[in-house]
Amino acid sequence: MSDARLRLERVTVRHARAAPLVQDLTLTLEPGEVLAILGPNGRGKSSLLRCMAGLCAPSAGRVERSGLAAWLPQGPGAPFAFEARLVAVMGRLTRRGLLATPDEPDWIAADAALARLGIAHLAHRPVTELSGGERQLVWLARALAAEASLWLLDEPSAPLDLRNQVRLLALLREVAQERRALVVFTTHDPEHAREVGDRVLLLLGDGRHLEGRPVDTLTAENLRELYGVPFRRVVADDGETLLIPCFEVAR
Amino acid sequence: MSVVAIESAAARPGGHARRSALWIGLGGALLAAMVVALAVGRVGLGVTEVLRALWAWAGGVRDPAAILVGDIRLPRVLMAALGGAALAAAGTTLQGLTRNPLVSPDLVGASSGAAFGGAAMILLFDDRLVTLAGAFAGGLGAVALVLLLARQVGRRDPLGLVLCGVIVSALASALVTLATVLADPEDELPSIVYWLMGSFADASWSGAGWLALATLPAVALILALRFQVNLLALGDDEARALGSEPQRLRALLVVAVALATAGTVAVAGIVGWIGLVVAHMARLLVGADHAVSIPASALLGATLLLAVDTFARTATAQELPLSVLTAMLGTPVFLWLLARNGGLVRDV
Repeated sequence: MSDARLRLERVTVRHARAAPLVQDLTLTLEPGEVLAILGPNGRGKSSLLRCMAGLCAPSAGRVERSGLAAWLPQGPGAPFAFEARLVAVMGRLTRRGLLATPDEPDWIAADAALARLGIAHLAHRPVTELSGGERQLVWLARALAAEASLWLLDEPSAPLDLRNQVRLLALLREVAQERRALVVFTTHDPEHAREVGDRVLLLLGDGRHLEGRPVDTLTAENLRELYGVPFRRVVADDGETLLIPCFEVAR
Repeated sequence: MSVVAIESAAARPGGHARRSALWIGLGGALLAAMVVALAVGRVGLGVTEVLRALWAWAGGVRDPAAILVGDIRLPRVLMAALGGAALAAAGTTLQGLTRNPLVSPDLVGASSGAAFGGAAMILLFDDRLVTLAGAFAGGLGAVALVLLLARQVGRRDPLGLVLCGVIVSALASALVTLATVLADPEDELPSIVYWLMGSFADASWSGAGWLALATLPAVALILALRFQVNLLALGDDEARALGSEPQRLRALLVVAVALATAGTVAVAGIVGWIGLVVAHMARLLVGADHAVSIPASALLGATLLLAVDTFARTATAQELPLSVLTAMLGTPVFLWLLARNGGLVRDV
């Protein structure tokens, strides 16, 4: 059912005359794939994602995309006290023509999406009164209600508590597997990338990047190079190997 | 999935009934205000007399009561209601599509542009119809200039629109001042000043016709696109990610706002505050959803401006200027809303 495609051809992203953040990135994503983008602050994750969403043109190269896009910015919000349910239903109205208003199936889809994210009880609350994390869930419900096939999310886990992070990751996995959506998200948590990513893109700085399967890409060495922070390999009780950053703050 | 949906839809018992009661209340208030406005004046009439006179007038009878109600008061009542509806609907729409609850139609240049156009025509021709046309053209021209400037300075965001509106309004206000300086203090200056202060005093059926012609299509367009205002209020990025160009829809709605505002200013002078305050009152009553708050604003604005105009012509022997009354009413109401609501302007 999904028609989502995303193809980047020798894409370069740079701000004004600064050194390129991303250089010569070529990438093709298919429906059902999840790409996680990792990189330190200010290394062009959001800019690259905005190019993928068509919100800005890359400095060089081409972005080809198809599919119904859902764009989730960092810290989404509204200037008016819209009810959560109205925000969720609006996702379905963007492609319905100028005279459209929500009908019964739209409201049912919006309520179902809110319920899927565990926030049915917030349906009639103004989004201006919700916490940052609750708002994030409302905007995720909006993407879900819209039945988007191309999900582009900028640090979606940032405002979420641990339980809601699990909800988010499960949702991304579900829309990719069951609805064959194409998902791209940025994150600062390598575990999130490992858990749901089919592919991982590391922005290493000076335009260099590394792309591949999580198991090959998310190594202690690569992450150390990426963040300049040492990582420890820890074998957990259940036998799984985890990578833990060493924060090493003197006290 | 559907079980959950049905439960949450039912979680608000009486939602429909409340909504219906609200529309009946708003519509009833407007009707009541109309009947009162038709009844009061130098010659006071009872409600039954008003209804009888209206009936007689509609049937072609021209006795004194029918002439008073049908030919003198009715066009003025309709003009005040229509002007109020146009200004309020325009204000709510503009706040939505600029994502700024402090914006009023005056801010995108429509009012001051119309003021300049009208003042210039009084100076040059002193013909009522030419003044109307000049004010209308001035308002539209100013808004066109604002849209053009916002484009030229490369601001695609709504704030660019507001900033360019402030710039153009300032220029138009300066030109209005210039027109008053150049005006003949014996006859032109008073007509400019009285026209600017705003009044429906010389209402007539032809005036009502011109006002309807200028504002009704714009109000109809705004009402038809009212849900789109929600989408514009939520942000351009989502729409642009979907491949559509929200600036175009925003420009179309700004033109509708300009038509509604300039049309009203042309016939009634500058009537401030309605476009700003009524939007907040409507949101307080029916919530933020523009699909509901825009029609509610239109009804509230019509009732409010009609009430103000009725007061303006009956309170004292001399007619009071509308702009003075709307400001005197608008300032405390706005302050009260601000204090009560704790945050008309919310953090995004």
